[in-house]
Amino acid sequence: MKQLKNDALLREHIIRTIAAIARINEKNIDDSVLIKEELGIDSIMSLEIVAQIEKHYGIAIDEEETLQIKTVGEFIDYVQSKIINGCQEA
Amino acid sequence: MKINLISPRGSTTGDEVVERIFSETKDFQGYIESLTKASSSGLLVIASLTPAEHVVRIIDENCEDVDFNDDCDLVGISAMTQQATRAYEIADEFRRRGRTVVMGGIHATVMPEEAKNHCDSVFIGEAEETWPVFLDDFRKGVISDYYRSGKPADLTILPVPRYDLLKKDNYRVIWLQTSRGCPHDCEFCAASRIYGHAYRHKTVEQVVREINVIQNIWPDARINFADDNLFVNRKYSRELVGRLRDLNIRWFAQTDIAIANDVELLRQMKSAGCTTLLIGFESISERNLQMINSNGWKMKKASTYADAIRTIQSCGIGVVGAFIIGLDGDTEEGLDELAEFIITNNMFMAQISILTPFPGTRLYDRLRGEHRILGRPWSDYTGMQVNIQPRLMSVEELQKGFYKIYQRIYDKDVRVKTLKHFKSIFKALSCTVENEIKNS
Repeated sequence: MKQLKNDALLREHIIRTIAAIARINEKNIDDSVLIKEELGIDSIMSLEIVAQIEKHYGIAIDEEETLQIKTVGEFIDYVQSKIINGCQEA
Repeated sequence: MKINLISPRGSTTGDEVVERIFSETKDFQGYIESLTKASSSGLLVIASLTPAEHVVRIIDENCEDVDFNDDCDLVGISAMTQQATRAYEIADEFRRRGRTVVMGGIHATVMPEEAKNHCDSVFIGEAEETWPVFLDDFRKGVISDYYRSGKPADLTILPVPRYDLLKKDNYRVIWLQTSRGCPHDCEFCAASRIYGHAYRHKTVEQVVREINVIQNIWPDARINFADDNLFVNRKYSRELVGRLRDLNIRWFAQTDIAIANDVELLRQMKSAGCTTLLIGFESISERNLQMINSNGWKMKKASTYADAIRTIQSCGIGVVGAFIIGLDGDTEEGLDELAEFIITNNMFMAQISILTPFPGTRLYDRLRGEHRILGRPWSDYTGMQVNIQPRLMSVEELQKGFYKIYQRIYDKDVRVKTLKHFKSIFKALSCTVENEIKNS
């Protein structure tokens, strides 16, 4: 139960971060939406999002790996796996 | 009356090798692609100046085919030089079918006699004043061969361009023009031939109103300011940037290197949604810069380029450096040095153009006098193909040098290095964003 609650909080925080940095209405962001094609988030905005998430969760995100991520849901899953695996910032 | 306004198909690169370089590296650089999938704004202005009794359609041939069987009464075509060849094909076909065809835009303005061979009337210069006159003449059945603008348009009285006529799903990036005119006098620039050097701008309220209209159609629109230089008048720029902050948009603009002297404004721009700035560096060679800019303004700034890039990017704004190669001082070694400069300074992106003698420019007149224009078709005037005989290189060396720069700056390892650099900048700036997220 606690895990489910944490998952929901993580998801909410990531979506709020994307919305704030890319200046998009949160209501237009769901798991299936394409980050580049539909949200119009280019590489510079992606980096700002990644930097914010890294700092907030104290994790290290590989820039090359994030280039392969297509949807918001994939990005949330990716961040979640980094937190679970304890990929700490250098 | 039914009026079709057409933007002819224009090639992004016109070159298979460049297409391949862009395609193979698109995971590492999505920037160029985002710019090419943008709307064109000139025809939207013409549509807004057309009385409501007429039915206007905008046809962007990069997104849809032209229907030559359409029963329109009038066809208007606007083209830049690289679109001119296709514009003439479209004009000829419509005229063969008995339609009245008019042409305007930058190419028709600088080559009016050539354009007239393919259409009934040519608009020379800005059309805000002449389009209503033409419509009146057309109604009376007595149109002139040429409609020449007499004075610079007063931008403060222009209506909102007809963004509503664009097909919504075709565009991710919307271009918006707030001003016209540039005080610099660059030898290669054709825009000043239409707009002149006197800087004119819309009111801040007009710009806000336009953005509101755009946001009603594209709620999460990305705005590209089409102005050659958005920050000529700092008082106006500050007021505009202050208002942009409340509109929750992400935007891109073009300007010159002097913006680096105003860190306070850069910070305001970042917090108002500015993601990237295209800056016309043109060259890293002082000798080249001296030849480009008659008053030496750019040459005097050359020694500050690296510091300026660092200053702008440390504010969280990516620099897209615009450079021209094939200038009279360029050599193969010089092109290597340019690639190294872009990489060493972690420039977010670079837009490399091969020196192109656009008709109407001082450059065109000079190179024509020196018999150095190759005489290739207008469709090759993309900025990615060699159209001149370079002074210190062969045509082949320049074209290969162009490919080599893009191959080097889009190399995967180089891009990852740049991405890491930007991530470190954003981490340093992240406290501000964290507060915005908490407050959202």
